Amino acid sequence: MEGEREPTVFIVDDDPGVLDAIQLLMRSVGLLSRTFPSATAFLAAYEPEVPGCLVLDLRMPWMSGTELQGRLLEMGSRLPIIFVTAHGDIPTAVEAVKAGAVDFIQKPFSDQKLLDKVHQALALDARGREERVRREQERARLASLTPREREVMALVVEGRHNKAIAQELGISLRTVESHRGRVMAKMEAASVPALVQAVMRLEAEGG
Amino acid sequence: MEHFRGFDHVAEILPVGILRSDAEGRCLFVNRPGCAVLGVDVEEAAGFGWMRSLSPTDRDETRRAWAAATHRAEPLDLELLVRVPGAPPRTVSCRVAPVIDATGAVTGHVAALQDLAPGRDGPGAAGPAGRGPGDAEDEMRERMAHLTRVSTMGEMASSIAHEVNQPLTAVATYAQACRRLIEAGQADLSDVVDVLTRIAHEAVRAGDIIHRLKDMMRRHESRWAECDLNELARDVEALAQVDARLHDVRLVFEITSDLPPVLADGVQVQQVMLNLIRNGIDAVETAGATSREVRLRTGYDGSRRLKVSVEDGGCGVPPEVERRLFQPFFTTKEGGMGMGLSISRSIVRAHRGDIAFDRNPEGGSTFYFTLPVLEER
Repeated sequence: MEGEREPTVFIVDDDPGVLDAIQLLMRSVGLLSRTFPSATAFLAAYEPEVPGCLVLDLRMPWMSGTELQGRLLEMGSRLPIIFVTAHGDIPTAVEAVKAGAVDFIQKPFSDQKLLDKVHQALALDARGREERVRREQERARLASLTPREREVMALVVEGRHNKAIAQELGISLRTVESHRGRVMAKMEAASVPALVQAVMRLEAEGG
Repeated sequence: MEHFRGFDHVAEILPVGILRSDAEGRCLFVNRPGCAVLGVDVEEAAGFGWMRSLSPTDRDETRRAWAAATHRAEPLDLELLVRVPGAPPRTVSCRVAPVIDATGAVTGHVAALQDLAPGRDGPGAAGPAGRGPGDAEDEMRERMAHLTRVSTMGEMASSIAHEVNQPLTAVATYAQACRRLIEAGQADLSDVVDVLTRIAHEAVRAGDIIHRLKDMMRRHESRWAECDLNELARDVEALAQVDARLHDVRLVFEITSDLPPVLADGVQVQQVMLNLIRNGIDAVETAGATSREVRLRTGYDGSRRLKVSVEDGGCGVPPEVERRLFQPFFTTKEGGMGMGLSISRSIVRAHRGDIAFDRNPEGGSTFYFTLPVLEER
């Protein structure tokens, strides 16, 4: 299970001093971190399944922080990004936040501010991963239904009673009841409202 | 004309008369020595007022000459007869250079004014008594070189601030992290010593940048000494990398080791290197992201000369500006003073060297200068 891996703070900065100092700060609060001297080094080592967040210098030679952000978005990455900027880069940083970064922080920064943002980003990443796991599970459950069970489920969700469903599908009440029981069990729904919610989520996601 | 503010400021502290005019010859600025030479007050000098102490014929002739200089976009040498009541008439040398914009149009002129009255030394003899003409020339060049260095450092201010910010960030973060480790009881003494060492290293790094900046800003006695060109290049690298990083440009130094010494004014030669590198970075910036690289090489040019070249993958030199590239006040840059290449050339020539450029076959340009090897005695 991916959720069991320890979250990692990935730090990308072309300045070795800044890189090392941020790593020490992460260690001081017991956070696991990995450092990269360039955006390309990070991309080469990037594993989407490792949970965490990215502390990213905005301005670097070869590939800038915003270029890396663009690449990650193209790859479908959801890794939350905190940009670290110099004084004059605020407009670029604001653009980066509009493009989906969690936040930006100006150099030099207060340790508490950066740690707050890192914790916030890690929580966001964890929620996102849980959400994706839940969604995958729901999809898997849906896929395990037989065509007949799907038909029954659709009518249950519409609020039909078993009798009406039996009539509609031309099957016996007893058969409807047993299909219905299997639907609730396979979808792991404790109640009809819970089933309705799960189906609505799946529909909203295009599943 | 925003960028002339810097120029006027610089002109105000020069010992020669400097006047800046529009294309027709209306005065837009004149410094104090200029007013003294022309026999007018600053307030009177505006427009054509600066000509008020000339004879009416001289005035007409000056305006005609000015118009002709604008038309031809060429420099002009005039001698003006200045008459001020209660003083003998005197002859003033007036050397006029056109100010040309990127489209090749003359937008105005800059004139240097000097009193040729008897009893005074000729132009350029500003040095104190007892020194040779070479010393006076050296001093003037160092004055100009210093002013353009200061202006370059001004342009680099944001890069430098960014660069000093890096070690400061590291220092602050190390200190905060160390405090947390101590408070959590996770740090033993050797950890703390280790972090303190790193903090000291970062602080020294910040100091280094400031020192280099101060070296370039300082006005120095023109100092000729036996120099190692490679050492000069390495010293410039630290400052130049600052600018390159800010503009996302990769700056590569290719050093040919064991070069023989040259006789040079080290700071001025470094200034030329820095100028060429900064021009290269600007050219890359203008061209967009084809090849974001600038490469400085040191090496030989034949057996008796050394060569420093700066290659960029930038926008190249348009043929129409080539002729004026090394002229003072010629610039294609927004806010540029147009002094970089002109002062570079005057420095290199004073060192008995040459400065020129080649077009790279794959785009961009290579600017280079040569210096003679110091002959063994």
